[in-house]
Amino acid sequence: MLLQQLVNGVMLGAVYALIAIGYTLVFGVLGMLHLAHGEVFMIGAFVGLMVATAYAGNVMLALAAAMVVTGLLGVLIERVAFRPLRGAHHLAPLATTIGAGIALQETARWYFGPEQKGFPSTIAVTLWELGPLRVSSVQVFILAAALVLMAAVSVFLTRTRAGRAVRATAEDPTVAGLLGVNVSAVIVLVFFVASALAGAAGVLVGLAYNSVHPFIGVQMGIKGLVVMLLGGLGNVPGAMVGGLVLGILEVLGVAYFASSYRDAFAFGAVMLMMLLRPEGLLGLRLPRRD
Amino acid sequence: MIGPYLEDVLIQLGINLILALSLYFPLSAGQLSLGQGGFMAIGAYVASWLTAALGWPWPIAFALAAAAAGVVGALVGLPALRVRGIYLVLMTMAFGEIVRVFFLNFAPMGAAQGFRGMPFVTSLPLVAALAVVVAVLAARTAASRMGRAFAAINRDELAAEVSGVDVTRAKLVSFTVGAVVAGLAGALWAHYVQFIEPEEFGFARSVMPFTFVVVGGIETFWGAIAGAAVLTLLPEWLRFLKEWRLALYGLAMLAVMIVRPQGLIDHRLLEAMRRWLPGHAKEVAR
Amino acid sequence: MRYRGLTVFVVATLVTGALAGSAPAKVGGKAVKLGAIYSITGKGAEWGEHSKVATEIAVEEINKAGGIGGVPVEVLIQDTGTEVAPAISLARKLILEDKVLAILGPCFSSEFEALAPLLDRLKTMIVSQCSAKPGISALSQWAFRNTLTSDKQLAPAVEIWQKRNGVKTAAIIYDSADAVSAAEGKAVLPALLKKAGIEVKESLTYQTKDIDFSAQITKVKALNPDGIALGACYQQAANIVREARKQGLKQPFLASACVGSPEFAKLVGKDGEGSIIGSAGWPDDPKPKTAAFLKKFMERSGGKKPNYGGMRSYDNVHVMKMVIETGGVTNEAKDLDVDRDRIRLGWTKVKDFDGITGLTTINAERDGGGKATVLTVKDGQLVKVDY
Repeated sequence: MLLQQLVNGVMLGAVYALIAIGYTLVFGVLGMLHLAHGEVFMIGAFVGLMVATAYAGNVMLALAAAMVVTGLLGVLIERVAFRPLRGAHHLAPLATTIGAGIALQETARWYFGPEQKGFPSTIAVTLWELGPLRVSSVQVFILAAALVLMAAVSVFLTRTRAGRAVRATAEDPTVAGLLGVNVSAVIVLVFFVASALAGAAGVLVGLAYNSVHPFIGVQMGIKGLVVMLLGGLGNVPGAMVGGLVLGILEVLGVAYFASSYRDAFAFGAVMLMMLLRPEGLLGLRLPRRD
Repeated sequence: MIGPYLEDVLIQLGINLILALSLYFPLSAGQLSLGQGGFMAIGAYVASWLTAALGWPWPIAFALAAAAAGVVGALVGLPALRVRGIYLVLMTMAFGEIVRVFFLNFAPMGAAQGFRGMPFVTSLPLVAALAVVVAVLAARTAASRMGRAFAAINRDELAAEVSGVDVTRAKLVSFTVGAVVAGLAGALWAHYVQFIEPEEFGFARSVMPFTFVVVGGIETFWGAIAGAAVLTLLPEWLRFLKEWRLALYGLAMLAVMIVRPQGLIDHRLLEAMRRWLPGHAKEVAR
Repeated sequence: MRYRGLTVFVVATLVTGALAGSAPAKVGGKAVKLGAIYSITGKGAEWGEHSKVATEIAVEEINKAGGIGGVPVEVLIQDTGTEVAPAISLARKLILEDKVLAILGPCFSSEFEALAPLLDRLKTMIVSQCSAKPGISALSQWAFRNTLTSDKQLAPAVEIWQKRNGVKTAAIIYDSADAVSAAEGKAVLPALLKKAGIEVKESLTYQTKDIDFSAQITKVKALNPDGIALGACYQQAANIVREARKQGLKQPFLASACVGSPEFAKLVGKDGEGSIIGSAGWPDDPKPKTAAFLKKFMERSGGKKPNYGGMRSYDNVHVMKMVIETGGVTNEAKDLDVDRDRIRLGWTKVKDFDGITGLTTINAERDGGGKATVLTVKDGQLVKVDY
């Protein structure tokens, strides 16, 4: 049973990681929390649902469509909720993103209805048994998709010019600007990538858990924040590791303790981390931002 | 005479005002807490236990409840001293969640089913009086030495320390006072609705005072008051929009912040308002 | 005849009196005003939305047929946003400012529980269409619920579930963060299962916002009970069922009304085939009244089928009509307090009202009495089980 639980945890963790990467990227370049990120994830799930329903279960198309739409949504959010506040108090974007999040939630509720929806069951699911383990093709697809996306982000950040520009901006926007980096363009790019990842996570969650409704962003958003903390603010590989850690811890927590206290453990761990190792499990790759 | 609906809205506004001011105290010393919901919960549950289960008179219950919240505030405030900025935000958020989960599982007070039996205490006069008291406290604090210490820490903690401010004491005081006030808000809430459940005091509740303060204006305590007023009354005015109400509320919040990132009330506006007061011209002329 | 004129007069009077008595009592005023507090936005939006649509359908039907006692009925619908404080302030507004005769709703047990103690002062009745937490109608003689509490819904369901599947051992999975589900999981289900001689191997919990149930299901798999009982609402129940089938479990499921939504059947499809649900209404009932309502509801809601909150709201409006017409309500401004009490009294006497959710009776505790509807999932639809 332990092995199965670990597999469960890894699946869940992969999704958390995708969302956390988005948070950490935004925090990395702007030093701000994007509290509407959970709602971006939710919109991705709905877009994926619409496309999958219209095109008879074509998951790849759903994924691509969701990523494009949410990427653009992220760019819009940057334009509306972050850019006008560039020089203002560092807490102001928290309020704008909260407002944006509410507006997105309510729009989704109006357009799609508040009921929970599931992905069409035209997507064929095969179950594989590997010894004591049971894994479904959907789960394998999700894990593969998450890993591919994470690898793509890593490659992007380390091997491409644009990626290096992002890292430079994250390290110090002023210096990066002086060195010729178009900081504004980098920020837009970061929002696009971060939001596209959240959109992908939305589709994958919709596929895996069949729970698509306007309020799924709230809980996912909080989980994403926790993962970002575990991995270290601004630390992308940290977000990946943190996601897996949280996923596994959550599953094991439910399996061996009651679920009722699970959140308390998770948040207790967060509090301890803030006190003892605020730089996260993998340490900060960036100078600390206060 | 005020109609009953308006009376209810004003009571809720009064409680929100107190809650907003509860955040203002730690915030003025540079400590953003997203855990006021947790302190509010403690105040609500302790006060409710005392009045409903033990039958104690409400003034004592409220005082003890606020004190209890303050004690926890101090306990959380101590480790919070070491943590700053975004890390403090997330740590207080985690604290709020832990409190929520605690009460969610606390069987003697109903756990998920909630707790009831409290008498109705929170009338408009009481809330108004307490709101005024807390506001005056905020005003007096801002003008006092302690308040100046807060402001100094807010601007630059290291410089404040170097220039002799007892940073540890100031931060701890601001955090604890914030917790006490939030606990009071909780006791008032519990004795207004007469039924409490843990979900009432979750993350959404902690975010509320934050949005009040940020939209109202971070620079002065008047911001907390203005923000609480506008954001409590706005959803009521927007009722005619029916199901569009919340969406527009979110957009309104967004719009205000874009147009005026420092919030509705800032120092400049206060100065301008003061100039209109009759006494001021005389002062200037002197 | 000497007394011909008098005889004609007396007979005429008697005849007129008889005719008047057999028609619904005439009600005064320009409109019969009722209030409704529903959770149209916020996390409970689907319950409030369905209740709103159903109420509007009922109002239209009644007004087309001449209104209540000849006077059109008007329902002022307000949105609580699924929050407790607005429920209180809106109820007071409707009662004290809008001067409604009675209030429909609120749906949620927490809103209901906060509102009930105030009613003794406000002296106006509320009738909930969804609240299922046992015991809270006792808080005030003005607090009514036209739903079956969880224990009444589950009692016949447990029997049927056991008989059909030969269940001797069970695992319970319930939402410990939700008041009603927690009551079901901690108290109602264990008691009913024990009474049926079913051994509860383990009780597992989850939190309302969870989407991943792999851990709980893996644990249940190791226990291998004969059946799985749920204290849940349909969103999580659907995920639990699917996860169970994904991990290879074949056990039959048992659940109560919050699961008995048409959405559940849609979400689980074949995975949920044979699940037994104790409920408070069957939207696909072919009975003419229900079928007609379903058609109208689907037209107005863009193809959605109503949850039981919607169905019961519709019935509640019609019960209001009956109670007002037969209770001597005059609907004159000067009689407001007396009328409200007449309506309350009328509701305490409701017995076997033929509504779309079956025969409605209000019992001594001011909760819905009467036979629970037991549903099962068949071919992706909810189908009634006769018993």
